[in-house]
Amino acid sequence: MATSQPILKADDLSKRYEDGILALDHLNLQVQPGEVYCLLGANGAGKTTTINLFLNFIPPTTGTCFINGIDVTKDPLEAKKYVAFVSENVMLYGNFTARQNLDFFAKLGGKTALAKNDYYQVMRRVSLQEKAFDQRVKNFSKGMRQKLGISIAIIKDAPAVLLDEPTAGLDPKAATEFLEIMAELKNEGKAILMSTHDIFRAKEIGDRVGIMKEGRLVMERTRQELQYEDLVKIYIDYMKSEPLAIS
Amino acid sequence: MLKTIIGREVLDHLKSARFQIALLITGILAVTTTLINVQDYAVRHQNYLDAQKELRSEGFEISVFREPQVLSVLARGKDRDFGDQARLSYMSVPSQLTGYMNVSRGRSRSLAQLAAIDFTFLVRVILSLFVVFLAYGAVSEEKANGTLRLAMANALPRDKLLLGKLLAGLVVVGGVLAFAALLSLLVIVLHPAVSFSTSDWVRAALILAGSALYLSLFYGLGLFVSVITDRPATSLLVLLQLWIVLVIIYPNLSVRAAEHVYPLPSEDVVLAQKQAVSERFQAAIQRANEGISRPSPTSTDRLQSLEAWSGEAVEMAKVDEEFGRRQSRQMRRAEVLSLLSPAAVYDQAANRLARTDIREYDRFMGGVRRLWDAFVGRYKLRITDPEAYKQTPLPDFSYRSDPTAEAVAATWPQWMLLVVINLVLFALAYTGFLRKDLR
Repeated sequence: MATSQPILKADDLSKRYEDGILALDHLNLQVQPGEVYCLLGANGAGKTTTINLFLNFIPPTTGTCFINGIDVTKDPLEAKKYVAFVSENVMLYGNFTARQNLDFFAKLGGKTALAKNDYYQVMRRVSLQEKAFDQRVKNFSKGMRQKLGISIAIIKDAPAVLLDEPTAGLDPKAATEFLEIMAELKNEGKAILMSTHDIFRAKEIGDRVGIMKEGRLVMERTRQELQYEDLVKIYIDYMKSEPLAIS
Repeated sequence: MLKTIIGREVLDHLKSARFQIALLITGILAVTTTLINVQDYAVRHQNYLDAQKELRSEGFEISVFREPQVLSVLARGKDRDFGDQARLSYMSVPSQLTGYMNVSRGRSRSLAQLAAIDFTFLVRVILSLFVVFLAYGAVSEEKANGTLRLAMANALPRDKLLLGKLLAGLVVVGGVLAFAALLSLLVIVLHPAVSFSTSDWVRAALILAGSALYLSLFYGLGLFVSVITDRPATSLLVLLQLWIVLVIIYPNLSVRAAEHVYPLPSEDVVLAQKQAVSERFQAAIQRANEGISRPSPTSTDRLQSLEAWSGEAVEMAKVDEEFGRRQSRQMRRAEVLSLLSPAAVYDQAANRLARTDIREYDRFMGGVRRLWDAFVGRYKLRITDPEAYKQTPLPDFSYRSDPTAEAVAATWPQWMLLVVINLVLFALAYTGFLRKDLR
């Protein structure tokens, strides 16, 4: 694992919604280049809120997010140049082909001079079937859409990748393929922050795993530490424990 | 980046089934409505020419015919309801027109709105509804299906995305409008009975420009509602309700409100007023009739008869004119009240430009009244000075039709109102989108 400047950094980050719910409570985390950080937690634990804050979809109540050293709240457009995003359920423009979707999002990501072949290469890399390249995506399966979603992230070539439960609902083969691509991106030096429910895959791919409960990061373990601990037991113990005192 | 967004949006619209269906319906309706209106105009115009040829005679009474407005093929307004013929005699001043051969029309000042099916109806009702279907999902659909999050995860300024959506929408709406206009104008140009003058083309172009403004307003409204709602079904529901209120309910409601706030005298009251006039002149008319019934009436008898009958006609006309003035005032109040509805604003402006509104009718009736005065004056001359009568021909009927410059000046505030509403809606959509929670 690299130890240089973190690409993703949450500094004392909190979010309280208008209805009073505290979704995130003083979160501190860092993701280094070439590192995969998995956020585990039940629904409503604050995983997606964390990702939303990094993408400036919502403003933080307190604290700061940094992407590549840039304060996301102060300069969101500059910060977003350095991050790619894959959601739980990648939805694309159904009337467009896979290549047209890729082309559109690549241009939004600043890649304006790509050739048709560049798109094909990326789609081959994520093992999307060749015949699907120029098909409308409205009939794509979830696995195919997720592959196209990761293609969009790859083609942007950003140093950080945010993934919001990307393997949820995928069959085991598709999920395994997906994680292989994650491993490749990690080896290319990308900083990856992935929220997930999947404890086994988190252990498999994560260089660090954090467990969130009621908006707080209640535990963090490195891959080395997890060699000697049972992540499943730790996770279940935390989930069963008493509710946290509200700060 | 703006180009990329516009390109995608336009292509997405063009590929959608709703666009293709709407385009097909628009094309069919543009051709059929224009064809029907052109045929109708051709028949009415031919009737006018025939009537001019056959009925133009001077004697006890004369007839004046109203030429149908050529732009009624695009914006029929009340042109068909005005009536076609005014019959003048010294015994009566026509208060409204009849159909040819005196077929009663009598709806010249009817307040009923938005009835004629023509090009402006196509724009006002069908295309505005199409625009609603085009715009409702602009933001809410993308929010619901997640593409908005995916797009906004990039260094994409929100204002640029919204502007791109607006411009793309306007391109598509403009394209559909141009398509409809092209088909309509093609039908008009190819029909031998219709011939536009330069001023007609200018007016038609202004109606088209106004149509574009009107439709862009609905796109702006769609964009705004789409921004403030999170589900496409909700935005569609809200927009459909707004559309029904703005296009159907409010224009008619404003008419009913004007009728209520500014009531007209009932038919009984008007009849009673006319009865009173009739009674006032009864004795004079009786005397005149006795004089004129003698075996050889003198010129004094004839003059007395003329003065009695024309005097009564003038007083009767005053009752009708007062009623007409109050009706016109009521109509103008209804127009002012209906300014909150873009559909009513568009309708009023388009009909004014097409010369198919009540003002053109009032101008025509003003000409009829002037001719009646000349006619009665000349009739008197016939009795008092037959030589002078022979040397003084009855002037041809004429009236000053609404000049293009005046129509443009008069409709300018209405178009400006549509521009302002457009800008306000975009500003609201912009503000809403900047604050939008993208979760």
